[in-house]
Amino acid sequence: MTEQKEISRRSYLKYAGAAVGAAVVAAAGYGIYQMTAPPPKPSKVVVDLTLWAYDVPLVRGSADIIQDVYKRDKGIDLQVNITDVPYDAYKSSVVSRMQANTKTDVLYVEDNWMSIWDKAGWIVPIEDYKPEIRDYIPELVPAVREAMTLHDKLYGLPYYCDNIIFMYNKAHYDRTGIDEPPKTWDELTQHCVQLKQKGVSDRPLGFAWKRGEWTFEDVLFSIVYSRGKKPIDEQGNLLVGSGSGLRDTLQWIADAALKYAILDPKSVELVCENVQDACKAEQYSYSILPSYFIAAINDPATSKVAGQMKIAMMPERGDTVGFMRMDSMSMMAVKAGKDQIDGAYALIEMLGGKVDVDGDGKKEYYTAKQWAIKDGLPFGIQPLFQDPEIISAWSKWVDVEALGQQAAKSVFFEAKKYLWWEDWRPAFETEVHKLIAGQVSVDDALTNVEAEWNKLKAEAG
Amino acid sequence: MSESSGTPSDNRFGLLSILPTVGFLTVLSTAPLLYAFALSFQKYKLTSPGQHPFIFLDNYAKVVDSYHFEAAITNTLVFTVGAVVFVFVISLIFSLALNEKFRGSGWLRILILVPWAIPEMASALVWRWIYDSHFGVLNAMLVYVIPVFDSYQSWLGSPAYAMPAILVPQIWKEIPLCVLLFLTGYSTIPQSLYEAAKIDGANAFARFRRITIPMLKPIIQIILVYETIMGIASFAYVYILTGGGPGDSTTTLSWYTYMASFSFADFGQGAAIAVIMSIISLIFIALYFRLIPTRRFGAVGV
Amino acid sequence: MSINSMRQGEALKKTALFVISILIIVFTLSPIVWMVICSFIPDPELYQTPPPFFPTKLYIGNYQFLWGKEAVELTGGTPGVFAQARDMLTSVGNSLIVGISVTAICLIFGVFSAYSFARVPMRGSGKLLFYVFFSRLLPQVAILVPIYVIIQALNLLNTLLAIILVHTAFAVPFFVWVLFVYFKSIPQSIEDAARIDGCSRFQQLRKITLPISKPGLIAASIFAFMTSYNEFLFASTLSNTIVSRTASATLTAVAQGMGRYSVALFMACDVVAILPPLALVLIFRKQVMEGLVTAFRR
Repeated sequence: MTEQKEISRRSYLKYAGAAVGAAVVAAAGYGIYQMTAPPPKPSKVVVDLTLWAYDVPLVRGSADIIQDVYKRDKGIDLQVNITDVPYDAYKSSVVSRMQANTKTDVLYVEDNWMSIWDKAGWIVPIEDYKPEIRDYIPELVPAVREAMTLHDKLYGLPYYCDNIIFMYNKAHYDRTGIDEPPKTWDELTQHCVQLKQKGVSDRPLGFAWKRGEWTFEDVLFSIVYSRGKKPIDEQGNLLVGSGSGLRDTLQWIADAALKYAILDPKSVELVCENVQDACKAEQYSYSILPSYFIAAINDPATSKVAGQMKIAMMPERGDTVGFMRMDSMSMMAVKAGKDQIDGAYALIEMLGGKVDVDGDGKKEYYTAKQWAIKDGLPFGIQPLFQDPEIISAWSKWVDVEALGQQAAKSVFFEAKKYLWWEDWRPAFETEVHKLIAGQVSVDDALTNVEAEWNKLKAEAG
Repeated sequence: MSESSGTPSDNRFGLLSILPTVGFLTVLSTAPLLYAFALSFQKYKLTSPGQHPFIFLDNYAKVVDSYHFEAAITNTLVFTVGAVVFVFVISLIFSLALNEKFRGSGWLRILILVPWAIPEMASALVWRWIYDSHFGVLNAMLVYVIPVFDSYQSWLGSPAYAMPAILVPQIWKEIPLCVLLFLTGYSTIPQSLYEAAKIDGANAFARFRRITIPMLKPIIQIILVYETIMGIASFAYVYILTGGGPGDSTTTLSWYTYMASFSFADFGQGAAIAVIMSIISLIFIALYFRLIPTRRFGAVGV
Repeated sequence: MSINSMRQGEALKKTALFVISILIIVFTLSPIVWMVICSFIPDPELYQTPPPFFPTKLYIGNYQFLWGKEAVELTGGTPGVFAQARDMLTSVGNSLIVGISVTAICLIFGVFSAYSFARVPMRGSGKLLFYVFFSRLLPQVAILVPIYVIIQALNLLNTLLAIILVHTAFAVPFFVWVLFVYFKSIPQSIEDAARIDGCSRFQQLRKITLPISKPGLIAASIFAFMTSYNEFLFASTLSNTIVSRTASATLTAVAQGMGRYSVALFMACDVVAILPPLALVLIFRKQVMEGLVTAFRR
């Protein structure tokens, strides 16, 4: 009996030993495999895009394309989630998202907010993680490139980049007997006085200067830049002394509103579209707005003045303010690792850069062209100004060559790079309103805005 | 006849009934409030991420010293007092009329509820269109139908008109509730008091002053408190109609809080302003209780 | 008093009533009427001075757009911009879901709380009652960010549940107060009789108090629903996807994305948004009034 037991115990031990041995070998083999084999590809990368609601279906279309392209080129499933909010709520929604750490990988960034969001650690210089973005630099409009650069690094690719342009109603001019658009701002005043006297328009000049309107400062400071003057100096001080661009501009505005009564005081409650509609209804003779609005103003189906509004170069030196909106990458994406960065960058490139859409090896600015042709949105990419499709689409409502000429003279508005820029805007807008209403003198207004600028500058440290 | 207080089953029932509500409110109301309160003493700026030191009253100093504060306080007080006064007076007049029985009074009592049913945002937006300075119907009425003006006015863009312009939707929305409260108040006053007064020779005005008003004290108190809070907190109309302008003639404390939190991204400052708003609310409430002493807040016939 | 002066008094009163009636009608209805008229006019026709006060033809294109038809006559912009308006119907549905849920939660928990406050003697119940009211006294803007952080921590962003929770927190204080006052006004004798018969608190509530409290319950419920439907700040901050957007949030989006042009389409959105609460109030107006009246009657 014991022999049987002994034999079975021995065979048991043998088998056990063999099993353990095999296990050890297997473990060793697996360990070696793990150390030397390539890391497994992620099966899926989810990129969260947050943006403001402007033609979101177009963005969705591009997102779908990049999902396919990513799968085709890298074999990874890319999923793009889009969260859209109304434009006026966008900034506050991003603030909320970032505060609460809601997953956000790619987001629209406006030049006004770029500095602050960078300081807050929300957006990153893409260059640091994807050096290949530098390849785009030669093709970017210089003012746009300057706008998208902080600390000498590129922070995104352009989405919507535009310039403030000067449009006047040629039919009104013909009726009044004026041949040429104004060459200086004083000449513009004279033209307006004539228009008023001839009864063509009671208040020919209307601006979109409601508190908080997105183009408020872009338009006002384009008047400063077009005089060939800068609003701030190298050290970041606001220039308000006599002979300064801002002083002359505010004086011009005050005179237009109060002395000559050619500037509509209703401007303080108007948004861009209101000015656009008023131009279409022939209530204003001029529109100093981003070029994006020309399409509607010259739309024969809905506008009384279709074909009458013409572009002229900004009076005096012709310089104007260019602004940009771009697609940026968030710090969250960076922290999530290389795969997330790759996915986010692919989306950013799809939205603002060149992608090989149909697999024929040729890369094109697919989304930028979509924006341009479908919605009339100008862009920050130089070569696209010569694109025949865009030219033919746009020539229905605008003289594309004139547009290009004005774009060439667009300047980046440096004040936006300062951290207190957004804090200063409400105070500035308030003073301008008071100026137009005659509640404050040009001197006092300048004193107040300068004081506020300096106070905020000091607080920002 | 009084219950024996504190029987175990009573206590259990009471606790079970009240605890969920109190707990829920603590999490979703009190805790955020305390958090906001604490925030007001910290530095919490977007441009200093990760550094939130306690800076005691610095936020408050910054707020009081800021460009917008003086206007915000003045405008909030003007708006609130204006809203309370107009809502009170107009509701009183409307309710007195609706208390009478005449042909159509039933329909009118239904009609008066309509503004209360309309959401703030829906109302703000149609008012924006009504006030439009180029195509709005108010201008059309005042120029073409009842010629008061020569040309279209800028309701939301003139410093003089903007504040009244945002008061109108507020008043419009709040009147139904106050009319209702007044009407219910009237129904609690026994007719016998009026009869006796009539016999004594008191005229309508005297009856109103000596009987109606005193008997309505609790209702009046509720209306004053509620409308004040609504007035101070009112946000939608500034948001949609004026954006704080023109100039800063409609910048109120609630708008300033929003600006500070989301435009300046200084949550410390935003919280400080909110605390100031709360203090102002509490001051008003305390004032009302001083001026109109009644037995207990809202609990009539206790 | 002479007959003549009495007649004069009567006539004066009649005139005053008539004037006030006209004022009430004009005052209450004019914005709504104009909203409705504008929704039945094609947009380009609105941009005139003066606008067409009484359109001869009723144009239904704006509503058709909301119901899914292709782009209508719109001024300015490109069709993609108006996509927000298409969500209007879904958002109204969402608002109804939220409103009803809020009301349901209030009914389940608020009724018990109000009853306890009103009837059950407990130490500190007065203080707790004040605590419940207090939360409504302070400005909502202040707690926007803290609430956002909490909802995010619970992983409930962009869900209707988040909005339901927050709206309930706003609605409960008033709900409890209305019922508290209402219950207080019910004579205790009825309940005491039941107590003597051996009913527990719960049975008292269920069998005696609730059946006779219907007007108060309806009134309080309507208030809760209205508070929720009305709210836009938190609704638009906490969830903004199509699935979870409420009517007020979509209106906010529409106003900003679109109120800059195509006012007619926007007015149609507005009309659609106001139909549910309007209907509710008109249907239950009696209960609303009764609820308040009984509460205050001694």
